[in-house]
Amino acid sequence: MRKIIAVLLVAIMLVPAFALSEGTIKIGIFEPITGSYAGGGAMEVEGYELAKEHYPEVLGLPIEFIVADSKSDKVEASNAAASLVSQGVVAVLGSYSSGLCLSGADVFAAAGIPTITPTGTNPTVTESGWYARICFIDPQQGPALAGFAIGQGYKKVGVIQEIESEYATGLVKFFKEKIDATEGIEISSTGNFFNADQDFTTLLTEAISKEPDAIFASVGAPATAGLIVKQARELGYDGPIFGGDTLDGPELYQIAGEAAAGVVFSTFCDADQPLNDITARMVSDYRAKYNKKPAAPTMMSYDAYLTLLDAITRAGTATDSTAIRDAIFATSGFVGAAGEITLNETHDAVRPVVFVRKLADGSETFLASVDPE
Amino acid sequence: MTGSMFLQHFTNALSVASLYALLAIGYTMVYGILRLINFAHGEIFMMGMYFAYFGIAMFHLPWFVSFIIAIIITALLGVAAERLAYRPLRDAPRISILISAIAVSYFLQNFATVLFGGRPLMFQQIPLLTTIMQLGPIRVPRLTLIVPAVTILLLVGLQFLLKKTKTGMAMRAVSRDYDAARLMGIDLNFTIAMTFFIGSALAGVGAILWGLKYPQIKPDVGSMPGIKCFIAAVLGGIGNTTGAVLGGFVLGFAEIMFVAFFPAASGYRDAVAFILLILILLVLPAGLLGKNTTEKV
Repeated sequence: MRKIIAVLLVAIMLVPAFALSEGTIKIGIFEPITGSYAGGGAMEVEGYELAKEHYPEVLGLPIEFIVADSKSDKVEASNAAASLVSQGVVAVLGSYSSGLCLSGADVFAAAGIPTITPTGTNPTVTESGWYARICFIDPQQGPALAGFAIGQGYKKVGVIQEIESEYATGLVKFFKEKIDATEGIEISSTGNFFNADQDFTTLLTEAISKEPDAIFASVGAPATAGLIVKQARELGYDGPIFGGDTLDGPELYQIAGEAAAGVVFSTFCDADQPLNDITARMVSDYRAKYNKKPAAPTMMSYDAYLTLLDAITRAGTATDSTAIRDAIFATSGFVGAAGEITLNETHDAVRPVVFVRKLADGSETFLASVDPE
Repeated sequence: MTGSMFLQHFTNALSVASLYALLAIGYTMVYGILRLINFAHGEIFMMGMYFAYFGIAMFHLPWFVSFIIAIIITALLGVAAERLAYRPLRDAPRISILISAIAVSYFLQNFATVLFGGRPLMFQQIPLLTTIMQLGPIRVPRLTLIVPAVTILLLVGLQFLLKKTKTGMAMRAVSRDYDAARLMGIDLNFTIAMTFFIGSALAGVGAILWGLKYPQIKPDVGSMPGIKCFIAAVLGGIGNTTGAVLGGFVLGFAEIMFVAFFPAASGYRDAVAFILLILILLVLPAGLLGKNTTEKV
């Protein structure tokens, strides 16, 4: 009797797997839905969903999303990746946070599933041979940020970095390389904090005591940046604060409020600088749905979906993962909402770094676009 | 380090330490009476933050009304956790109730994720409490001084309650000996429920002050404070309320001053908390103010 029940249970578990695989193309969404990076995951999921509304089919088959929550945790991220693999996805989109991408990279590579990250900028993410990215990499973003600091005439820059984040420490490393190689500018202090930290007053008091011309906040998520900016202003620091693409998100302004005014960050694109018809459609439909301007990660995840669809179309198959992967890697001159995407031999996109400044009302103003060297 | 910088670090530490102290009291009270490390305490704290947030955001209550209601609901949540998850296991081996506490903690965290979503919400800023003051060379938000004042006030109130009231006397009796207390006509269930009520109410107060200071609410916001305050309670001597406050202050100041004096080692800040815990367990197993007993959890 017990055996029969066991067999029946197994059968029940298998039924939905077969039922759903009929006639749909399953794409895994590998994002942090909960935990420290939940805000980032949410921005990217919004982009995927809008893109799916606009382009629900490929090769005449409807697309189905399977979402796995990496819980902003490196161990959980591997589990989430494994669960997507076991559910038979043909390709994966994600993730926010380079560290989480890296946790999934080996799992996806072992299973032979092509993966595209919209915003994972750490250079090591695409080394597994199955990962591609449509954003720039930190060896480009770090020096661009250093170039910004040099251009502003800063002499001393205080650095605080999220030490658990591959992204945040990597960005500081590439930033520092260029600063060290430049005369007349130096890093006055380096403070470390953790992903779960909420109090930065000690680090900031220390950094401010060195009288820096600017503070570089290398964080994993915009909410953290919001707390840092708020506490820096409370401590009486009124100089410039700047950072990388993870400052791009509504939480920065929601937490810091007017204190966020003047914060400068580098990002992938700016929705206020419409590039083409795809941008216009994406931005206006996003505004209609969420009543706000899409953040750059949302536009990038929209493009990641489009890039995948384009690759599947060119490969002419929704089942042969090697063919899909090769088609993704061969992406050249593809135009998305955030600009043109061409992948190089390391499967990274080469594109300009955009700089924007936060204003007192929470909107952003475009500063500059720095082309790759 | 200049004098004004030290003062700035000192005020930073003062408010962090007071928050640790407030939460540590809850751990210590429950331990004192049930010999249970209430691992759900951090999550009850987290729910307190959400209650206060929704009181203002959804029901448009004035902030002080919302805060009072949030504290009461948080306290009732603590009582409910005891009623549903701990009381049925009171006669079971200690380890069962400990595991039940861990389960409550996970349940609340996941419940909050389903109910409120994983994306962080922003705790409201009350200008009356969060305005920045310039005190000579240093700048402090009013909150930095309000937090320790509230903590000390609540500690004094708690001491009065424990030492001078019937309920307090009953609590102390129950913590000494269940059966003897029952024989003396003490309502065991009521007394234990009261302990959870007070401990969780303090977590509610702590949650609101925490939210005002670090205005980011998410389902895992209670886990790190939960662990830190558990360490604080053990440092001070678990089961001893004054010890919990002392432990909170020692831990808060140790963390902040470590980073202040050794900024290059700031990445090891959390290690300081755990090293402190190990040292105290080696040297003074009962904590700073604890009584030496051979009780094992």
